[in-house]
Amino acid sequence: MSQAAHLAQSNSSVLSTKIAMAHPRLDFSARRFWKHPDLRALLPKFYIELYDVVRGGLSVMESAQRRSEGLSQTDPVAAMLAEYYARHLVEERDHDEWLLEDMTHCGIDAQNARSHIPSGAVAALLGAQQYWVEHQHPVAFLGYVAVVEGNPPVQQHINEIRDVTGYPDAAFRSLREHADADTAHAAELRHFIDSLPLSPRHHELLGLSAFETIAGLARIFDQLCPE
Amino acid sequence: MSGQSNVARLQAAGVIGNGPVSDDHAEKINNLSEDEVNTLVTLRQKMGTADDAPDHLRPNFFV
Repeated sequence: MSQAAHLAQSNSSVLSTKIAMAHPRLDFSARRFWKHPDLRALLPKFYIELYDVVRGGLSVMESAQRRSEGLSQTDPVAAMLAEYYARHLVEERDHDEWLLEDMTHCGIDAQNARSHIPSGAVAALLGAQQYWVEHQHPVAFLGYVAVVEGNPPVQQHINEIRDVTGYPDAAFRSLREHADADTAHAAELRHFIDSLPLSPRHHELLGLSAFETIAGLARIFDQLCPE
Repeated sequence: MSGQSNVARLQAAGVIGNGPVSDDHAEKINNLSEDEVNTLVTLRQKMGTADDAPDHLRPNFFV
């Protein structure tokens, strides 16, 4: 892909086009999960997977920040990423703890959630990101972030899930916070991606990272409610 | 390499619709790498014959 081709289009629109083509795969699995007739029994399992994903995602973001910092003297993209990841880590701090609080309202023991071994699907999802961050470039993790923050839930759907499952509203604090906050985060991310002097290789890495994230999240949903 | 454009490959695989594709959209798609196109095709294949009606506003995983 030529540099000239990318210069004619914004970085974020290139990535958005890629994600839009892949996202039906995740929608397919997520829809099956959220419309499951026994969602009350499945929601605690989703929360445990979500907790692992949130906790592991923060860990990968820390790695991406460190790797960006290490490259920053000679790599202008990495220098910008180091600042972005550092700022984002502060914004996301304690979200895993909020989630633990929500989980207790669904009858999940917080200590069990902390101590259990994450699933292979979660390990594969985050392991791919860790690999690309360490062995390719820390820009890869933006593809992951673009997927997970790119389509925040809406409050109406959270209300529906609360009503269907019968869990108290206190069990949905994290989802509600992300429904509101991630809209702003997604806009901030688009602006940031547009400001990066990305090469065609960076673009490809972002695309592959986003696709792998979609595949990985779909796999987690699939394992939560096998056919 | 198949010799087909990315747009044609993705249309044939059901990743994108068979209708007209705008020049801007086609340019973005035809700039995808072969690995990216292959991954998109694989993702679509995993959906079988299911439609791809968007339902992306339901809760997802987050950071």
